[in-house]
Amino acid sequence: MKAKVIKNIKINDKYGYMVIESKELSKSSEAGNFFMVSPRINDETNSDPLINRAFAIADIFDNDTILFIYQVVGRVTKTLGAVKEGDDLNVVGALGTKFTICENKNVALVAGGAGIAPMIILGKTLRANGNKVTLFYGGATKNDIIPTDLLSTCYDNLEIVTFDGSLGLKGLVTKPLLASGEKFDNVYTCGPTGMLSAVVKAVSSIDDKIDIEISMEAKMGCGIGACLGCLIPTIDNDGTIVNRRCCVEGPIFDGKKIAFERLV
Amino acid sequence: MNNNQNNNNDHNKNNNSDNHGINILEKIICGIKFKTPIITASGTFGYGLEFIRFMDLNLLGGISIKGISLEPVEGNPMPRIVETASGLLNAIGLQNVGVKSFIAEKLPILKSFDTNIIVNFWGKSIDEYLKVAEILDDTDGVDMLEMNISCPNIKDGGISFSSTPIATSEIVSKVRKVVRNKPLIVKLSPNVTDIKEYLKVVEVEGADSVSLINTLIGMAIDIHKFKPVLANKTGGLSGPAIKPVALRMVYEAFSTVKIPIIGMGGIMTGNDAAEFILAGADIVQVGTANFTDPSAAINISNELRDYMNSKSFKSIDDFRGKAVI
Ligand SMILES: Cc1cc2nc3c(=O)[nH]c(=O)nc-3n(C[C@H](O)[C@H](O)[C@H](O)COP(=O)(O)OP(=O)(O)OC[C@H]3O[C@@H](n4cnc5c(N)ncnc54)[C@H](O)[C@@H]3O)c2cc1C
Ligand SMILES: Cc1cc2nc3c(=O)[nH]c(=O)nc-3n(C[C@H](O)[C@H](O)[C@H](O)COP(=O)(O)O)c2cc1C
Ligand code: FES
Repeated sequence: MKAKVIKNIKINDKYGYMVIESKELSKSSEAGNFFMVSPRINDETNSDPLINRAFAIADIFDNDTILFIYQVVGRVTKTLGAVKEGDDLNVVGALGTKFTICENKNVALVAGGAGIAPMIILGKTLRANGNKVTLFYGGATKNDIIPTDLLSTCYDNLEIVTFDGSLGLKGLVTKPLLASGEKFDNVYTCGPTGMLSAVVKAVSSIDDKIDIEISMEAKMGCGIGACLGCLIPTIDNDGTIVNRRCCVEGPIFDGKKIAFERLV
Repeated sequence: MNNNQNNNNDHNKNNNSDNHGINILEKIICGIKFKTPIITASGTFGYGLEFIRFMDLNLLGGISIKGISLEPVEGNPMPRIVETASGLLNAIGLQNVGVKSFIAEKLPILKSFDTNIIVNFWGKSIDEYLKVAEILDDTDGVDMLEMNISCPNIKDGGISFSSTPIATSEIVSKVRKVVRNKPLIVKLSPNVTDIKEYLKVVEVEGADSVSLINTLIGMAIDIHKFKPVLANKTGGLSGPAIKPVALRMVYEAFSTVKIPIIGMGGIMTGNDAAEFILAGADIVQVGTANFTDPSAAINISNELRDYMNSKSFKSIDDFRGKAVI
């Protein structure tokens, strides 16, 4: 499926974002879903790199355009900056599970780095459902924090944290979450696996009845449940460990049901 | 290849017929009719059901199901996949739901589609091969059996049956005796010195068809962690990187055996499929390409028909083995 690039903006050396047009992708997407982007732009047939890359749906506009944010980490994301307006991306989606949208609650969103992407549409949807949303947004340095105008309508309160203190509070994103004293009913989080594990621990230490949904990452070969390359170890009700596909049974999981100690 | 999950084949709804109503892509092997010689390869198409939302399964020549064993298998630890130059290295470890669950839960849905269901199977011992083969041979809705003797990932299984022509001969002859109702395909490993020896053995032992190639054993190293990337250390290489090796082996098969040849390895386009048929394949399987575009197999089928029209070929047999000199 083709999706036309409407905008491709470089934020800094580490981050960029694109707005792409696809009615089908927009119509089938909800907060939490992701899609796969082929390394082949337009009608290219080159086979190296070969495998599609996963990106979270960050926002949907007018039922026909999608925002996604890319962090430059490797072969494909390094080339995304060169994609031009009017080019066609080849995409597969929308894929995966979605966040549960609660109503009229006090909610915390915790994002780390590129993990901010799904939080944008999630925060927007939560607020439309009567929730009060506090966004805790962390990064290594100020370059890991995308401009707040992209976050627009996704929070009521915003707390920015950087590890080196170059923007907002200094430290880890769990610090203000623990210190806030606020009683949250639900927590949603997305970011590096180490951060997710720390957030689950922190939230459980406040009150182990708080619901916590997390968006997990795994290396994906297909994104559609066929390759069995993306398994996440989860804890079943009877305590047994069951591997689930991040791309189909995830990426959104119950945070308390992830066997983090099994993840390398 | 066209990345289009909405089957960009509206000009070709549900048939591959030319103006005279003749389907030039049709091919019969082992008494079974394939509406197109394009089949999806085992392990790259799940149980087929994963793809229903992306394509019309009725347009496929057939589906080779993820390798099925007697009992459910959990497979290898993570990481199981890593991309390499024009290829994918995988060590899934033959994870599958087991034959009982496949028959009870997946097959009933698959049966409702008008396409051939080829069940790829394997065992950890000869006994397990025989048991699973017998069950599948007696199961309605299974059109063909494809015996995997070549999986490189299971330490105590797969590889040993394809490590010598004698081991291959033993397992194929035993399985042949219990598969009485359905055509038996034997899928070969490329990880051998002389593929011709194995081809001969498989034909002599009575296989109805041979499929090749399975993945090539490979490795990737993490230069920061100083260890192999895959938890299993080695994995099976697939994708365009292996196409030249696969083509050479299919080419050798054409002059070595009389039974139908099912070729695969790195097919991404209709022209790739044409290369395999020119080298001697009767039909072909598409594997890793399903990951890069869920409707790849259908696009490849359409592109193959376009190629045939451009050369005025009226059937697969018009050009099968034409490049073999
Ligand atoms: C469900 C899901 C949603 C995602 N959403 C976003 C998003 O919105 N924005 C964003 O910037 N990124 C997102 N990612 C991560 C993104 O898919 C990877 O960063 C991308 O695949 C890297 O491709 P590359 O070719 O640039 O890197 P590569 O050259 O393939 O790899 C570079 C490095 O990154 C590591 N890596 C590659 N892929 C992954 C992965 N999937 N998870 C963890 N490490 C990986 C490699 O091990 C390597 O060290 C998401 C991943 C998943 C699974
Ligand atoms: C993730 C993955 C899983 C596979 N699982 C099986 C399997 O269970 N049984 C089998 O016979 N071959 C399996 N294969 C091999 C393919 O069926 C095929 O032989 C090989 O990938 C070459 O074709 P390709 O390059 O088009 O992918 C698997 C391949 C991949 C990539
Ligand atoms: S990425 Fe292939 S099964 Fe999840």
